[in-house]
Amino acid sequence: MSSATLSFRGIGHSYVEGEPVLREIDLEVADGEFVTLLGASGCGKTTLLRIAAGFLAPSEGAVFLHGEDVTAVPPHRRAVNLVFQRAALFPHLDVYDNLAFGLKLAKVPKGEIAGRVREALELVRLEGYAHRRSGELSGGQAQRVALARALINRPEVLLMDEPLSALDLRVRLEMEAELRRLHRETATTFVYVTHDQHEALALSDRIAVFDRGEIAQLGTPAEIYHQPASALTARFVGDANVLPGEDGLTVLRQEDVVLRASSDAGEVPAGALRGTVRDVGFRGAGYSYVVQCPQLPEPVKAEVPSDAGPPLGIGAAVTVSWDPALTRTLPGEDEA
Amino acid sequence: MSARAGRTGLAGGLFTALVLVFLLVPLGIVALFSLHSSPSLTFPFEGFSTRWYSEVFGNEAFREALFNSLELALATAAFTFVFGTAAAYGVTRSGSRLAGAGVAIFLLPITLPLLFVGIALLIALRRVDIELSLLTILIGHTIIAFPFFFMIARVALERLDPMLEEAAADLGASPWTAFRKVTLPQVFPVLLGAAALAFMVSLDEFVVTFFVSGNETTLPLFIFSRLRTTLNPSINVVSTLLMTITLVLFVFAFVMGIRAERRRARRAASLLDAVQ
Amino acid sequence: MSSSASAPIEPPSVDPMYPGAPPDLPPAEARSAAGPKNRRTLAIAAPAAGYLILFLVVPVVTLLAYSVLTAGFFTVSGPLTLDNYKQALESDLTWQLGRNSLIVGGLTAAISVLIAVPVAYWLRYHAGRWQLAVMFLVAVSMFASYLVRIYAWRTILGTNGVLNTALIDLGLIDHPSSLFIFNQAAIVIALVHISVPYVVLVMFAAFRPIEPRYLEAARDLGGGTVQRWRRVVLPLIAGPAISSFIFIFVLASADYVTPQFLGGPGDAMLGVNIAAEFTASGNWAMGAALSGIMLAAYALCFAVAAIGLRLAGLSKIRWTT
Repeated sequence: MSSATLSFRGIGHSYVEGEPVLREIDLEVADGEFVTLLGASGCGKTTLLRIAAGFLAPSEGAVFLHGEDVTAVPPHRRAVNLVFQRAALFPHLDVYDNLAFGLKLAKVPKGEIAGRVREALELVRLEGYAHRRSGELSGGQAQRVALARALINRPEVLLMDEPLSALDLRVRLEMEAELRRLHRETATTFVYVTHDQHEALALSDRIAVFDRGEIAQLGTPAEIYHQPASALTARFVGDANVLPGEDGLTVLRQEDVVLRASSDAGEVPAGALRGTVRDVGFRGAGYSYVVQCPQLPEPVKAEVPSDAGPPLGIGAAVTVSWDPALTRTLPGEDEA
Repeated sequence: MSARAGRTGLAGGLFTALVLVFLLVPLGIVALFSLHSSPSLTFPFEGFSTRWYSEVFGNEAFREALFNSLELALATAAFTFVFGTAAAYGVTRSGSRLAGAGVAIFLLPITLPLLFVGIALLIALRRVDIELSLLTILIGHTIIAFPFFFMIARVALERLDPMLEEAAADLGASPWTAFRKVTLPQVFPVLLGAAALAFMVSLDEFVVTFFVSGNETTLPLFIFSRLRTTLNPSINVVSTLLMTITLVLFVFAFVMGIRAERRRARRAASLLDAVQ
Repeated sequence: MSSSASAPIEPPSVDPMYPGAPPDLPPAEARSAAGPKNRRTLAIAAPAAGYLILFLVVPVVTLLAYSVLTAGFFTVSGPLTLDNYKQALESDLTWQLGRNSLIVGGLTAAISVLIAVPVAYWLRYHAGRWQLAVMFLVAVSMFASYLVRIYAWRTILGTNGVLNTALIDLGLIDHPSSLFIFNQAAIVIALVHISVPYVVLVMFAAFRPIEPRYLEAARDLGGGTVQRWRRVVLPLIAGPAISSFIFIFVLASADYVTPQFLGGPGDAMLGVNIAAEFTASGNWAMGAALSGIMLAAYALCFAVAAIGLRLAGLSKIRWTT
């Protein structure tokens, strides 16, 4: 038995007979960990989260909270709280009453409620907002209130369903920092669902990459990024190049690709490939190139820092090379 | 707008105006003649007088009918509010396939001609030897008014964001508590408007009432009996009274509906703003 | 692990290409709770359903049962018999009344729909800031009492009524005409008055989803107004129009008050007879049989309309491909 706070054992689920959305999911989340369920739409991650929250009973398997089987426990009796994609604040209540909602239901004494609400607002840096109505809040503020509303109940596990996806980029980045801080300060176990790999890499202690209802890889962000276990993970996290090789697939990250104009003087490394630039995009810190090489079935993507020199134009003839030591070999064939 | 569209608009507007005249003028005439100083029901209009109002309100049978009608309408509204809300909640929140059958039953009264509902209820009551009384009238009214309330309640509950109820459950609210503290406050204005509608339906109900009333009268029954005996502006008085009560309630229900719509639109707009 | 399995029903997350889009809700299956809770939630609706079954379904079934039992005085008894139906169908009166009901019902429904559609169209596309006010007025007239309206037309169309007096005052006729009342026309007028507001609201709801730009686009693509209506508008409003027609037809043909106050001696409709059987004559079995006949006729209408609509829907698809 583990000392895990939250564990999934053998979870499988189908909404429709014969079309499983989740298969054989085994996952343990340790106390105080920040685990992200990462994957594209339709991969089952939100379903698993809803199973954890109690809104869904899995077709197979069980959910454990501190070793206790809570699979059949309804959401209002589970010691977990969920932050929804869209804050879902109660529109007929102001911020104070939204935050106090769970506390009142738990019959927390009135004096204590006021104190805890104040603490919660301080935690999400929204002091003074207690009597605002939810319609008066911006997206980011509403989401912060939603976080406070969940955390104020001191749940065993905080579940979050893509809470930042409805926010615009700048707010999202701010909120990422907020989430990291909240995680540190409250030392609560966080389970986070997102399709955004950048968020996942930035926030998590561990990432579970989902693919079509199964966990393709589970590991720390660094592991996932540097040692992808499959072509899917490699592509999904970091959008690496997956090239066919003699004994399997070669994973080559975009920033490890060396691009040189064919017209440049200097040595051409052995094994370099010839190619033509198909697309150039300016990314601020660098340029992203898409290069078509006749020997390769797919174009090669490369990231070149912008201070490396003027960009190459579309149609330019280039050579593509890389340091083999920086690549990673995966067995098997490409699933794409 | 093109000239063509302009012409269509004008023609359509004119036609609509004529239709509105057709719909409303007869009712206006009834109201007008309730204040007629003579017993005549036709032009020339000889002058205003409240004599008929005094006569009607002085009439014992009328007062009883008025009281009965208001009582029945209130009871109908209360009944449909409780059972209609429960029905709509059960049907919209269960996700079960049986819900469809439920909806069919709840809408059944509106699909049958009132005549049949009336006589069916009559013979069923007779079969089990139940005396016709205000209670039997109430049964009739609640059956008839139910679909009206149900349809509105169902739409209101369906349009509610299910995430709110989930959030309530997540925070520790049992389904009943979630309903009480989150769902009901949201839909209450609309439900109140729907109850007003049920009230109106009961107040105006004649056909079924005709069959299942014993010795009791309601306002429509009172009008009916007068129609067969004396044709004078006293009937106009009762009619105008009925129309006025209905109008007030309708305005109430209408405003409730509009306000709920506006609030929803405002909330959706603020959500979009937040995302922008 | 077949990737060819149909797409799992996963709540769609926000498309990363379109960050401003509001995220979708999970599908209904994802939202609803697990099995036993479904049934428990549905049970909340059970008392209401029970009430309606007890006081509506059971009585109607009883009514139909009575139609095949032997007639008594304000009662029925065994044995089972089809005599009532035989008697009803053999009687000339039944057919005359039936014909009246059919005519009145059909005319009312047709006129109501024909009036309501242009009004609804205008309300949807040309009303502008008048929309709310006009809708309100239409809806208000819908809630005016049924009996009051019949009374209103009684006073207007009568020999000493408002219409006659107005016509005499205007010099169009020299003595009151009894033309306007105690005939089928008067019945139809009153029933149309009752029905139009309802059909206007239904047709308005039908027009609502048809954005003006669809009509503009259709115009741009050529084709006259008639064609545009037939191809674009008609398919979308045919359903509601036909169902309104049927609803009003049922409402009007079963009416038994208007013939009594606005109709002449030969204008009685089946409803009047049925009502009489239950109140005055006491021949419940006969009344039940007549009701059964009417209900069967209505069921037939529903079926014909449903089949007709489906056929029409099918053939339209064939044309456009």
